[in-house]
Amino acid sequence: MDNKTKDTIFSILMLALGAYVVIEGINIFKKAAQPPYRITELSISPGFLPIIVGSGIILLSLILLVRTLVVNKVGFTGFGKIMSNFGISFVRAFKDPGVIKMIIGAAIMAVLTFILIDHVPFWICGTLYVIVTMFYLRATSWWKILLLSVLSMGAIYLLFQVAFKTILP
Amino acid sequence: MALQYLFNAILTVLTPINFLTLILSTAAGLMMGVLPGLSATMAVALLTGLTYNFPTQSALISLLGVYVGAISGGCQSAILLNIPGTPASAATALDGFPIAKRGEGGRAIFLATTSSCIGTIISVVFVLTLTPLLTSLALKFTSWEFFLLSIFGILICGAITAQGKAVKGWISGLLGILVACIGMDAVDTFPRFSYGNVNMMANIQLIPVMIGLFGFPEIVKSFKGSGKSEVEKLSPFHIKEGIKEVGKNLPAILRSSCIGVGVGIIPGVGEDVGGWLSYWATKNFSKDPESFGKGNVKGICAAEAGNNSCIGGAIIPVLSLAVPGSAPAAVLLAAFLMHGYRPGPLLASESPAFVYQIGIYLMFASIAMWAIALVMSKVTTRVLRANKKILMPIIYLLCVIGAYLINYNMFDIKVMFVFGLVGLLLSYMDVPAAPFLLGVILGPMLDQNLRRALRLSNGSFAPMFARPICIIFLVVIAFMILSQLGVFRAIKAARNKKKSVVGA
Repeated sequence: MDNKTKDTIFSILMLALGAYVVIEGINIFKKAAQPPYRITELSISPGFLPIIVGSGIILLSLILLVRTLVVNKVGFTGFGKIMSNFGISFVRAFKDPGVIKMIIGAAIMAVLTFILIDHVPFWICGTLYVIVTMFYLRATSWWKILLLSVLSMGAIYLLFQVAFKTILP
Repeated sequence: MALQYLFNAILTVLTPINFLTLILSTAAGLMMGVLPGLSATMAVALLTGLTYNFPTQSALISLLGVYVGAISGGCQSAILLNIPGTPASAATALDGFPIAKRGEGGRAIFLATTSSCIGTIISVVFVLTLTPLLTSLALKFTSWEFFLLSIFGILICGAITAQGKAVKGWISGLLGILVACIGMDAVDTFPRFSYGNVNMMANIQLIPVMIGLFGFPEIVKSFKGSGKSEVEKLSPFHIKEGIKEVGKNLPAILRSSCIGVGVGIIPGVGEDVGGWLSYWATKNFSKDPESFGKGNVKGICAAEAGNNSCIGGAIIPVLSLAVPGSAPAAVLLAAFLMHGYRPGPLLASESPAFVYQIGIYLMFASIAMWAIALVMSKVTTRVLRANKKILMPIIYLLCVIGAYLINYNMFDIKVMFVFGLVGLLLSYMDVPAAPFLLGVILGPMLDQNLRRALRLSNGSFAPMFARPICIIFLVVIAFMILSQLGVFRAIKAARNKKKSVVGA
């Protein structure tokens, strides 16, 4: 994806986020005006900063979008071309073996973070995670993977649980 | 009397048990700093509990050793891996990594470590001599100044790191402030953006965000490549040449140390801002600012001297006001209290030797750090030189532990993962993550001070324009925004055009 497309997509995403933050800020202001808070003045309301931040994001995103379109002399048709470029590069990315490796690697991390860690002791799920990831990435030979996984988890356990007397997840 | 205190402190630190404590704690701090995701705050916090049964002086020596080691150690992973070990060394990565990529990692680490050592020693001079004077200056800051200081820090960081597209850096900073808004607001305890989730109501913790933003994208990206090519080399180099180079960059180091101390004194503004401000100042003073970010050694020297001198700076308000200058200094304050000291205005009469002891321990810690870091860098490189496909899954486990240890809360591990995805997206979109992190750090200070100031002025901004320090901040902020948006360039171009028309 070229810089023009990146900046355009980023500014559109940020425009949407900025709008959401402003609306949410107004909702916070309205809620804070009711009991038990009764803060009716905007400048001292908890919604004030989100409104300012949201407006700032909108303003800066507009500057970025206009600059990208003006500097690159992109018209209405050019804008459409940028969007279609984005679609094409998005689809192409999912066919790239490197990107697929990144996605599956991140998915293994997600399984550890959101599922295993809550149910399985850390020293087991941590070792499992290292083994599975190294096997998937074909990091080295199988016996080295097993040895490194056990050794690294042992070192972590010794350092944190024994030396620093902390509690592991 | 002062000389007597200094001499006694030197004798104390040179006793075999204290000297061994100093070496071990500094080495432990360096290791914590080197490993991405393990921060200086965490290192000092972990050790505080462990020192409960230590003799008081050994405890103080070990705490300061860990503090200095952790802040300095961050530069090694910033240079060799492009992952700052601590937020304080984020600015170091800008020039350190390109230098390491050129195969001069050893040179970069020597310069960074030596600058760190000099920065800390200079900050000791300030701790010992200027404590009362500088504290009185920081006392003049009110809520308006703190509010503007936060904005100033984020704007500078955004402008420096966005490589010509300051707007992207500023958006990143605003996103960080937005994250800082999540949870109960500190003024009215009103829940914002928490969607009824109890964990989110308790605010998003800084450390998991930091680990996610800086650690996660590097880990995931390493899955893509061969796993071997991206590890930078620690080149052989001569210490004599390194010392000569340090001599050449001494003005930048001295200037950055002074900036670092100044930033450190301001309560709540930590080592990371010190590093960034020093880097920014050095870049602006440089004859070739374009070379910054591409491997200019001045950038490393400035960032490291700036963040390390913050250590002494941050301890000054701890000693004189019992107000911490940074997050690790806040933990240090708690440790001082735990060991029976009462930092604040009465400290000088209750424990007159204390300030001198802290100064001397800091100085010895910085010298120990210098020696250990240079020896350790060879081991660090070997560790970091390992196949990334082997190293990175293990580093992710350390990231998980680092995120968890702050509050012993599983939710923080999930936060780290989510912000890792955010960091990955930002990296893909060429948006710098550093302003985002600074926004998260300074957001609470910005929010609380703005609303406190507005509450005191009944919602009016007028008092801000009546304070001299605020006016200086406002002028600098306006100048920075206008220059980054190209307004001055446009005015100059319009003038030149007008002149050429009149001339014709």
